[in-house]
Amino acid sequence: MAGEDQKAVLMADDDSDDCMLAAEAFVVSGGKAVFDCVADGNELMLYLLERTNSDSKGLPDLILLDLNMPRKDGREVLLEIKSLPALRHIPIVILSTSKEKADIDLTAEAGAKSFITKPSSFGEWVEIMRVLGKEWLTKRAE
Amino acid sequence: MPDDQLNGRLKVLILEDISTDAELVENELRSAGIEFEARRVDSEESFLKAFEDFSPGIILSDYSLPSFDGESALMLAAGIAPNVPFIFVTGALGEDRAVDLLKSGATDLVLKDRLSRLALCVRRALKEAEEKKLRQRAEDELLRAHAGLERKVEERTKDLRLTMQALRLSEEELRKSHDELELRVQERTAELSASIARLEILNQELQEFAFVASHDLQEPLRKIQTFCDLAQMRCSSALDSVGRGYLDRVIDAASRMRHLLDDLLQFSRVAGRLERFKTVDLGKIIGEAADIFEEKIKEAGVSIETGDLPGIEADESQMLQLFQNLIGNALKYRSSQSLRIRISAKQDGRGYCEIFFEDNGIGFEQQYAERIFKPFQRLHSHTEYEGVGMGLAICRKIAERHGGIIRAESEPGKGSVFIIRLPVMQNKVKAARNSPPEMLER
Repeated sequence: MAGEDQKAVLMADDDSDDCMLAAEAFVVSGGKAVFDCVADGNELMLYLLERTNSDSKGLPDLILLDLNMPRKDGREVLLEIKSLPALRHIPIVILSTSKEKADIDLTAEAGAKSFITKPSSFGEWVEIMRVLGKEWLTKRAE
Repeated sequence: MPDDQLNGRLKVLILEDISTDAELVENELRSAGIEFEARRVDSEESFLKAFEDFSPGIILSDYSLPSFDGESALMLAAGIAPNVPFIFVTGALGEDRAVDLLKSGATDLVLKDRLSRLALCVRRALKEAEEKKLRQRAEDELLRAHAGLERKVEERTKDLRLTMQALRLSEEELRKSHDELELRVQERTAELSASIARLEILNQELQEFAFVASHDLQEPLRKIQTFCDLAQMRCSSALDSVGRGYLDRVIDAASRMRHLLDDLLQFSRVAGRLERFKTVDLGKIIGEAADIFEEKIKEAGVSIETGDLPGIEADESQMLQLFQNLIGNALKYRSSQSLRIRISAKQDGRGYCEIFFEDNGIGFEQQYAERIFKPFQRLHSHTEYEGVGMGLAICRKIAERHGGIIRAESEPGKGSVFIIRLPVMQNKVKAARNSPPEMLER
């Protein structure tokens, strides 16, 4: 199934529940892309750097980034990705439990496309995934 | 001195060895009209004895006697009866001797061949003696009086000294007990300060705990809610109606817990936040608070009247929160008649402003007027009225953070009045409050 047109979403979140919910909601929302998960900033960077020089595996088309993660957190990794020419084009959406204005401002300034607070119902998860899929995965496909 | 005082009383002691000479003397006195009683002695022994059993009023003494002499007699008399006049009646005597005798204390000196002077001399001597006696008496009295006075002064001085001593003692005791008291006050103050410091730390830890707990509990709760939701969507068909009922209850309880945690978080945020004071237009704030309930207010036909409201120095967002909670509270506990809210204010002239928030809701028993401000305290079950009982606790916290108070007056069925007393300016009360560290937002 993996081909040139296959879109991919990468979620970086240490909370496996949220990864599972997001992946399920993505499917329920009708998403067709590959949905991968990594557990922290280090893993995310490894995942991306590995694919930067690979022909067989492409870079993700959307990164869903949690802010509070062990080892390397979302704020650091966001700045790092935006500093690398090979990666800075990938749209990044923050998906966090935080509602803090400071976080919203900081990530927007660093180049995050959007800031979403994690919902507390599955319905909302599905709605979020639907909107994200429509905004960032279909446009480029057309 | 009147003669009659001399008369009959005068006792004349005559020291004379020659009886005829003594008779001459007596005759001379008698012829001068002096009444007297005389005794003649001619020896030391009889002379001395006369002082015991005769008590002479005057002594007339010869100068030289066979067994005695006038000079010795004068010395003796001066020792025994110094106030009795002593007149020498003698034969011719050298002038120098006469002067010596007078110097030695003799009252006078009369020559035997000039006896005519005697009566005059006696009278004068007696008069002088009498005067001397009177003077002496007066002096004695004076001395006595003086001594009495001195004694009294001494007694008084002693009394005074005792009183002063007693005073000094009681003063010392007073100072001692004052010092002791001061020491105890200092000790107690130190103890109290230590307790206050401990309590402050404890309070701060509690606030931090409340914040962290409510913050961290949100995450697992979000999962419970989401997975319940997922289960309801995906697995409902696998459950029977009883199972679905259970799931509904879990979802309901999780939703209540969500509200509870939200409110608790808000409560601890109010408690832990640093003051950001500026002048706040209360009228404008109340307008904004009412806007939050716009739909409900329209729907229920609520009227909100505001009087003249002052600008006060406050944290704007907390003031908004306060009035939002009060309006929300009034909406929740409105009666069957349409809700009317009246908000007015007056300043007390002592730097405080009192805001009266009146409604015509269901009200409550006055005995609960304090309880309603305690966290998680409710007067109704949440099946009657939803909510977790934090709204008014947050209001109180906000009032306290501003150095003010909030209280309520009510009667069932008669509506309620919430009275918020806040300082107009914050600088006066700021120093009195401790400023807890800003909570770590995560």
